[in-house]
Order: sequence, then C-alpha cells, then structure tokens
Amino acid sequence: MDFFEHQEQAQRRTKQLILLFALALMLVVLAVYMAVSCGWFVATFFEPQHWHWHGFWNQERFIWVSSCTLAILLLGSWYKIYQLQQHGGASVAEALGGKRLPQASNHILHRRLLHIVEEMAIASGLPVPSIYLLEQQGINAFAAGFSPSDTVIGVTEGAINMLSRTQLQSVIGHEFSHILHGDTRINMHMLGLLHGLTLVSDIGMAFIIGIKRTTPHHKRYGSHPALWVLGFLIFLVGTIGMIAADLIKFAISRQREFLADAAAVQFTRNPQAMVEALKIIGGYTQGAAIHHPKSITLSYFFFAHAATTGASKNWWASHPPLSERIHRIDPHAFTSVTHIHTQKQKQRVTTEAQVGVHFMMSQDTLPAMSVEDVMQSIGTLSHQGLPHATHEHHQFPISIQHGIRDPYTARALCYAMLFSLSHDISKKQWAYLEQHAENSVLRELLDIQHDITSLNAHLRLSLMTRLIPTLKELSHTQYTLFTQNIAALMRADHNISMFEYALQRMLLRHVRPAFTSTPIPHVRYRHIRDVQAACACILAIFICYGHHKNNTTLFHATTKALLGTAMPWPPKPMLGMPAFNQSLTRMEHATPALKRKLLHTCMQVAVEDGRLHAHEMAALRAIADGMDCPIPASFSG
Amino acid sequence: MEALAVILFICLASIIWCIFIYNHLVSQRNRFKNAFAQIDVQLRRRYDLIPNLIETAKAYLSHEHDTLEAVITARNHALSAVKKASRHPDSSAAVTHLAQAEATLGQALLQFHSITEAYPNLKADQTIQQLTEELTSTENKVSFARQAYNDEVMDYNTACEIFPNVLLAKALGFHHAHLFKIEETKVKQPIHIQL
Repeated sequence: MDFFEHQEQAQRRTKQLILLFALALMLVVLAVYMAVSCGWFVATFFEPQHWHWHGFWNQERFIWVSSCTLAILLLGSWYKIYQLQQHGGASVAEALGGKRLPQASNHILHRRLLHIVEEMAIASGLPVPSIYLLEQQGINAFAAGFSPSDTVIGVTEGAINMLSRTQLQSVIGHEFSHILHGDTRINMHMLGLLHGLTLVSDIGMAFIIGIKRTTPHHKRYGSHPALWVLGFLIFLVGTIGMIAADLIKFAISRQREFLADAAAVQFTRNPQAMVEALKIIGGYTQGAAIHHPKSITLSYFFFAHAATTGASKNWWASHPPLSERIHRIDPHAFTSVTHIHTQKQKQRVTTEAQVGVHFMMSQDTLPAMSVEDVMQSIGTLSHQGLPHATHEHHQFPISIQHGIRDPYTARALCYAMLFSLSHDISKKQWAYLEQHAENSVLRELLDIQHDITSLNAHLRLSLMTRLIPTLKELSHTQYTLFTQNIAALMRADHNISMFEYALQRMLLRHVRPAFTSTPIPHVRYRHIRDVQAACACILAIFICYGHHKNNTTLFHATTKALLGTAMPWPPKPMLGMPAFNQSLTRMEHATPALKRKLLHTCMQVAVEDGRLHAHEMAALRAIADGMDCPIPASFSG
Repeated sequence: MEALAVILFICLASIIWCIFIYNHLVSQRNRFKNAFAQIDVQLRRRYDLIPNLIETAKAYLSHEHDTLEAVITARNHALSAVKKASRHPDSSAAVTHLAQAEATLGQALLQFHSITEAYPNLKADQTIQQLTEELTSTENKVSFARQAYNDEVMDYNTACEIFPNVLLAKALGFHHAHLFKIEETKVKQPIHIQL
C-alpha cells in the first residue's frame, strides 16, 4: 500500500469512526431514557401529588430526554474539537503535562532526541515536529496532530534515559509511521468525539456530588431521592458511554500498532532494535506507565500501554501485549522478558550518547530514480535516508549548523534566504529590515548572509524544514513581526522564483499552527474537474521553472494526459504567485488520488528531457509539501 | 417543569463558560512556561562559559583574586536561582530572585571587564577573546529569549485581567506572573551596519 492509499484508508476509518460514534450516541440516548423513566417511576412513589406515571413509553418525555442528551453530547464533542483546533497536537501534549523541549537544549540526551527526530523528519520529507518531554519514568512516546504542520512528538524522560540511540529511533519511527499513515489525525478526531460520550458519566457524578453538598441547606431538594436516583442512574448510564468509547478505541486503534511496528522496522531496517526496545519496556519496573489522570483517556495515543490501572492483557486494551508485538516483528525472537537493572541501563545509555555513534555514508549510494520510484517513496522512509539526513546536516557551514536551533539566528537565516541576487533589490530589502527588524537579528544576518548564498536548492529546502520547530518557539509578538518582514521581503522582489516562493509558503504554513488555530484538513474536491484550473496553473508554473524547450507543447501533452483535454496555455495572471498560492491551497483539499495524479504528471514533466535536475526535484518536493505529500530527502537529485 | 429546564440550561451554560475561560488561561500559562525554557537554556550556556573565562584569566590576574571570586560566587548564585526558577516559572518570587542574581552577576562581570582593560596581554589572549565573544553572543540571545518570555507573560497577564476572565482567574488559581526584567548595567550601543 502506498502513501495515497494509506491516506484514503485513513479517511475511510474516520468515516467508520463517525458511524460508530453515531451508534454509540443512539445507545446512550436509549439508556438515558430508560434511566430517566426509572427515576420518574421512583418519584411517583415518594411524591404522587407532583409526579404522574404516564407509562414506560412516553413520546413527550422521549423527545425531551433525547434532545437534551444529544445536545449535551454533541456540545461536549464540538467543544473538545474546537479546543484541540486551537493548538493542534500541542494541546494533547500539554494536557498530559508535557513541556516543550527547547531546540537549543544543551543536555546530551535531549540533543540526541532532537537529532533523531530531525533525521527522521528530513529523511521522510515531513516538517520537523516540535518535541514535548513528559516528566514520567515509564518508557513511552506519542504523536499527536491534525496535519503534519501541527504535529508534535511527545517522549517520556524514561524513554530517553533507558533506550539506546537505535532503540529510541525505532520508537520514534513507530510514531512517524502513525503520522504518515494518518493515524494521528484519526486519534485527534476520536479524542474530540469520545469526549462527548464520556461526558454523561461526568455529569452523573456531578449530580451525586452536588446533591451531597447541598443537603444541609436545601432540605426539600437536597433530600429528594428522585434527583439522587437520577444522578446515580445517569452515572450508570454514562458507563455505557464509557464502555462504548472503549470499544470504539479498540476497534480503531489496536490493529494499527502492529502496522506501525512493521513500518518502523522498515524505516530503520533494524528489527533487533525494536525488539530490544519492547523487551526493555517489559523488563523495566516502571514499564510504559504514565502517571497522569489523562493517561487512560489518551491511552490510544501512546507507543505502549500507558494506563497504570487495569490489566494490560484485557481483550479491550488499547495495545496488544508486548510479547505478541515482539513475535510479529521477529517470530524467532525469545519473547520472555528479563528484569532490567535501571541504574546500569541508564549508565549504558548515557555513555553511548557521550561517545556519539555517527554513521556517515558516501554520496554514491543515492538510489537510482524513476518516476515510479519517487511516487512509491512518498510517505515512506528508506534506511539510506537516515544517514543521508545526518550527512546533509554536515554539509551546512558551521555558522548555519549552530544557528538552526536558535530562534534568534533562525529568523536571520530565513531573511537571508529571501534576499534577492540583484544588488538594487537587496539594498531595498536591507533598508527595510534596518527599520523594522530587531538590531541583534540584523547583526546575525550580516554574519551568515555569505554562507547562505553558497547553498543549493536542495540544501535550502532542507534548511527551511529544519528551521520550523525553532521558529515555533517565537513569542506571538515576535512571530507577527517576523511574518510582516517576510511579506515585505517578498514584496520588494518582483522577480522571485517559484522555488523561493514555495519555500516561504511552506515555512509559514508549517509554523502558523503554533500561533493561530489549526484548520482541520478535510477533502473538499473529489473530481478532477473541481481542481482543473489549479492543476493547470501548477503545471504551467512548474514547466516554466524547468526551462523546457517547448513549454506550450509540453503543457498541451501533459494536460491532455492529466485532465483528459488539452488546455490552452494559461494567461499571464494565472502564472503569478497569488494564483500559484491559491492553486496549492485548493489542491490541499483534493482527494489523495487527485494529488497523486498531479504529482505523477509533474514528475513526468521533470524527467521529460531525459534527466532529472536537482533544482526541479527540490521544487517538486516543495510543491508536494504544499499538499502534505512528503517526498523523502534521499531523492535529492 | 419549564422553570427547572431554564435553571438547568443556565447552569449548563455558565459551566461551559467557566470551562472556556479556564482552558484559555491554562494554555496561556503553558505558553509562558514554555518560553521560560529558552531563557533557561541560554542562561545555563552562559553560566557554563564563565568558569572557563575566569580560569583562563587567573593566569594573568593573580592580584585580582577578589574580583574573580566575586564573579564565581555571583555565577553560582545565579545558577541555583535559574534551577529553582525553571522548576516553577510561574512563581514570581523565583523569577524576581533570578533577575536579582542576574543583575549581580552582570555587575560582577562589568567589574571584571573594566579590570581586563588594564592588562593588554590578557586582552590579546586568543582563548579569552573567543570566550568573550561567545559570552557576548549568548548575552544577546538571553535578551532575545527574555523578550519572548516577557511577551508571553504580558499576554497571560492581560488574559487574567480582561473582563469576564478577571472574575474567575483568582478563584481558579491563576495569579499575576512576573516579568523578567534585569536592571541594565551598561549603556546600549547602537549597531552600525555597513553594506
């Protein structure tokens, strides 16, 4: 199954989820109705003068009960989704008590984690996610987010202290596969919807506790047995919602853990490390425990069984047992776990991190490329990709390598990348920044400007991707100023190339979710005719960028192949950057199949002259990123 | 029956309203706590550099023992203050204490630099030059991180003080957070940029 099929499957799963949710809603409504009727019945015994029994089935009562219940449940779900949208994946991390790991951290184990995540992201072509650290001794990790832009990865302190580099890499690989397969998005939707279902039991609890508190003062209402019975019954009824929620979690989440394990092994080509990591969790006294009130509600986000209560072997547990996971990865592995000595293991891990294992690779192992190879590679991560990402990091000049993790230099790097080659324009751009940017950022800019000009298209793209998590650390005020400056730099340069434009668009698109609410990506355009103009625009601009011999003929041929009819060469305004921006935004909301078609055609354009040029490949990656289709970095041309 | 429904509805609406405010304040508080981590990182880097600087300078400044000692003491105080503050970035006492420790350290470093002016050999030392340069660059980064932190604290404080929130903020345990301000010990020099 390739990336696009995974995306389609994720959409089908989301639909299944909504269907299951609707079923559970009906179940809860019926249960609440039964509870209310029972309460009613009890009330007629105690105060027959106020309450009249109209029989078990009463239409008026049913309408009242069902509309109230539905209103509360849906409101609960809607509110939760609204709240999640405000900060995306970060809200899940913060709900679990996570703290954002600053990119500039000096701690050796923190740096190791930052590097692992960065390598994985670069190798798979995803924007580098922010990392949150959970102060928990259990070994666990999670990924959360609606789209790659707002996705965060959470890791416990136990995981970074107890796992070696390759083991931690397997765990992170597991989380990346959840991101690439669209599981994180389903989790976010599930979290929102299930919140409504479990709300009923919370309300029931409130009734019972509320009554207890008011008993001495409001004797008439407080002692009213009907309300108490009602509260208790609502709580009981709520447990139906809770059970339904658990079943939904089970139905959606359990199988995909095996899939994510398999994908992680495929990414790292190291089944042994994954087996070891699982065994360490099994043999470690803390296991994968997360001591947090939310760990049960959010169990399905985690790498391994996080809840501290209840047996992990229940058939409805969110995760399959460790031994079964080990067996699926390596059928010959010895599945029994031995006790792990915590201090010794920690010592071993720290020593390994200090020694620093670097595996470099030579340039010539880059895979040979065909259109099909690249299409197949989207949304995966080859085992060559990881060392490639490290290698790439060392290709940056030292000043840039240091600056990437510093929110202070990171901005200067972005400005420097948008400077025009023409002297007149760059002078104008300088004048603007002198007036508007912070003095100290300008000083950094002077230092690095020269280094930036030496970077090729591919390294620029990689640099932008690496800057994303650092820029997310800006404050709101700094972010506003930063975006204003970027916009001004772009305005000053009239001859900006498509690639430069795509770069800054990519950067802002991925950084934005940290500061404003995240739009939830959903499919709006299902048919090729809905996105005809957008495809034509992107294709035409891409053809222009590649300097092909005969633009118009190529355009006719490719549009015929893609859209079924040969389109005339688009008018001038359609080749401008605003049109390009709109077209990419439109394609973001197209079905995975349509995205695949467009990317496939673009690839064909790129190899039209028999060779794939590095700058074209970089531009294609930037375009694909605009549609959230990550092309791995190892295809760098 | 209708009255009961109306009361229930009002209760529900006000509960939801409280949850809205509460969650908003929590996310604001998380933002400034996260921003403190950046200051923490930069300050620690700075505190790591200072002992190296002093150690190298000792060779030249055998007569200025007191000044060197003062820098080291101030640095140790500041280090323990930042450790405390990073555990509780929302405690005004910890942040104020850190700001004071930072100001003392700034004073001590200023004293140190004024002494070095009198020793041309010291100023010419390669290691000293490198360390001083790194220290200056880190100082710039500290001020940047401080700005980010203060921005977020201001946003949080505003969120606590605007109308409907102010009714609940105190009761829900959201207290006024303290800005991280350091008394400037030296005159800022404008930067000249040449093209």
